[in-house]
Amino acid sequence: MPLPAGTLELIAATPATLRALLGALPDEAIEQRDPGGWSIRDVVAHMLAVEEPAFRDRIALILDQADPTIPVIDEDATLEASGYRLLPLSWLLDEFERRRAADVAWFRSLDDLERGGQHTAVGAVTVGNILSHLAHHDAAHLQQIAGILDATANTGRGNLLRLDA
Amino acid sequence: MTALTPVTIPTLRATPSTLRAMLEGVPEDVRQAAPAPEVGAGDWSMATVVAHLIDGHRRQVGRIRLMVEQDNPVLQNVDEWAAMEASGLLGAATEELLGTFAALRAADVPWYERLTDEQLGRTGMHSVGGEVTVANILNHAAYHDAQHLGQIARLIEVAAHAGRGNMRLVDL
Repeated sequence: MPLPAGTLELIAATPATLRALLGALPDEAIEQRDPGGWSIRDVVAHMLAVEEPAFRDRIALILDQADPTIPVIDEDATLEASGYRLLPLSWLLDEFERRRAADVAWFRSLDDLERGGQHTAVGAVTVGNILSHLAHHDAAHLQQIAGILDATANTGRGNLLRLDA
Repeated sequence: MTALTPVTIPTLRATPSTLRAMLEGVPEDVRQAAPAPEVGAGDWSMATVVAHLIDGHRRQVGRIRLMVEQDNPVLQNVDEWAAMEASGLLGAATEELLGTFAALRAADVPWYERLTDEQLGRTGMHSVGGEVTVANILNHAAYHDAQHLGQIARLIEVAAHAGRGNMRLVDL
């Protein structure tokens, strides 16, 4: 199946989206947590932590071997091992931008998106599936960040909360 | 309440450039397409969301000016969809909408930042909500921005979903 139109462009745009939305937030906003216990900093740290193991490394494995086994990733363990939750958001945004730019340049050079491997949890997946999943994953976490922002702004709405009723 | 939340001004300032970055890679036909009902992402296209943000911004600015200039004015609730249809924004090219929204926010957010505590505490009487302050309206505007940024991210997620194959069955 071909990539949905714009997939690589969406993937390429995510660092700029995060920088535009988060670059000027004060520290107290960055540390606000959602009901699942994640802060905005945690979300960006997670996106950076899985960039290589869940996307770049898997595609490289598929290109390097015939129908390789692709292991499931423990997201929490990967994040904790990265140490990224302890780093400033500005560093995370810079590093994410640098890595994503390099990855997208490589993704654009790939010519066999139907080549595949066997994901241990879900079976056959292709390079194209992994790229689409990356665009989907980015969008899911942008929703999560928007949710943290709207929950914070919600605390100051006063009687305008009644408009939701 | 006269206080702005820590995300209020940063979000109001950032939303136009965030939208531009999010939508830059999306083909115009996808930006203009309403999602299929079965995906549960509402029935607004990405372009309709941007049009709604423009319409909402104009209404917010008008209300704040009224509250700053008059004592406790009535703020009439509006039918958002009827207002948007009347705005003439529906069907416009997304680039045009993004440019309009960016220009409006660039003109008005600096004024928001200069509002004094006394001005942030001035009140109006919303026909549904009751008494509200200027700060409530600005916080509501940031909340509204974030809600619709999430909506557009959801629409992008739907667009990307089509290519995921078996990866749709797993987080990572």
